[in-house]
Amino acid sequence: MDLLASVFDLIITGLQKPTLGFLLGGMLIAALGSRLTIPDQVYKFIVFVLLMKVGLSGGMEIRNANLADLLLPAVFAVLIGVIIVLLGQLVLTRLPGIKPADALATAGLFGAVSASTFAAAMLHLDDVGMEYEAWVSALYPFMDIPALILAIVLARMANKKDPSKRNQKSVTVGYVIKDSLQGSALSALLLGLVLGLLTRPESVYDSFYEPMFRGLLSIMMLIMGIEAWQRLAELRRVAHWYAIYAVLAPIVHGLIAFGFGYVAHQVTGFSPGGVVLLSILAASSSDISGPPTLRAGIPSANPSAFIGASTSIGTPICIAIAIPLFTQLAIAVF
Amino acid sequence: MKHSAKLVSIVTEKVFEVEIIRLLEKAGVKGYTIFEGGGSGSFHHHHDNISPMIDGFRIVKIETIMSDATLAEQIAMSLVEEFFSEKPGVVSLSDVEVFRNQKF
Repeated sequence: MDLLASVFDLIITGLQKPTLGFLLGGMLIAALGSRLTIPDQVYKFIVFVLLMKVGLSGGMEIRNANLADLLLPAVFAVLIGVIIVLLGQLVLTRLPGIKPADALATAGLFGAVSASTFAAAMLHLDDVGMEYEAWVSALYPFMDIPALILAIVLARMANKKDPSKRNQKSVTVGYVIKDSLQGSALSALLLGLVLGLLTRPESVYDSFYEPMFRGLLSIMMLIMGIEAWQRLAELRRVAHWYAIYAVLAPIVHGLIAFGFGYVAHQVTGFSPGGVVLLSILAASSSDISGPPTLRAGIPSANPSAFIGASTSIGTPICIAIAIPLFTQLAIAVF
Repeated sequence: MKHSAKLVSIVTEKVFEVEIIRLLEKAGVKGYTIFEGGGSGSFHHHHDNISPMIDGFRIVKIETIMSDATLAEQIAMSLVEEFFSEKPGVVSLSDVEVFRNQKF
């Protein structure tokens, strides 16, 4: 009974936090048919400020960090991205009613990273007082880009086996890298990293980006909640296996990354908070920049399947369950 | 003075816009107009107002008018055969009458 009570307590505390509260609030008003929308331009601005803040704090920290420490987690991030896609392909293509292209696009999206989920995880660690290396944000592209490339390349190879589709033109690896780096989220993050590293942005960081972060993230969560509910209707029209995959994938992917993070902790002293953030990078699935890249790269895949799985189930599960779960796991393990 | 010409109309997702424009320019079109909107089809729902998160999934209509009807038909055919064999999109041709023929 005591254990049940403490789990219940944990859930209630989680629900009262702005991150999860606003996410569920967004889902609730969308479910009730509210016409509340956050304008596109506001949403884009929020993504920019969040990622710029994450990038700046990372860049400012890299100045004083030993770059060799970054190497092993970066290699692990690439490996995790690759493993997630291969695992997703292995599992999804074996399930009934799932086309190879849809399976690969879904696996690619789950291998890619959600910037807003990552920001929510950083905030959670700040709240519980767990320290982490701010340069972990620099790992984002190392996981995101290889996962997207691998999914698209595998889909193209599957297409080549199909004689009717052999002559079709498809995008190149170079295109995927360029398209990912030019995406709004990664551009802001990388610019922030460079500015944090090469300039002295402390005054704007302390007076603007840092204080804005929590408030803007709460609006971002509301938008994601609305989007999650609206995408659910589309997910209902595709195989139910996507929903089951989307529930389990964040936890399984997070656990794989936690294992890699543990090794990095043993070898180079990667912090427990860093291990949690690496797990969340793996657990999260891309909501903003990944879908258009995959759409262009695997046009035969049905967006209702891969975006529905990621945005309506993967992201809420990641925020509501994976973030507190891996934080607790880190507290228990380290 | 009216001249007959062909209107080539292409409806697709915004994510493919750049590629299509590149094809049109290579084929020698002198200009085009892009309209953004929403809709629904066999492939996917495209709401014009409820999905603020992914810009690339908006519907666009790219229109160009060509005085050379044969070239317009060639462009339409190559788009259907090469580009839209796998990607979502609708290509249509209509007869129109234009006034300043030198523009097209």
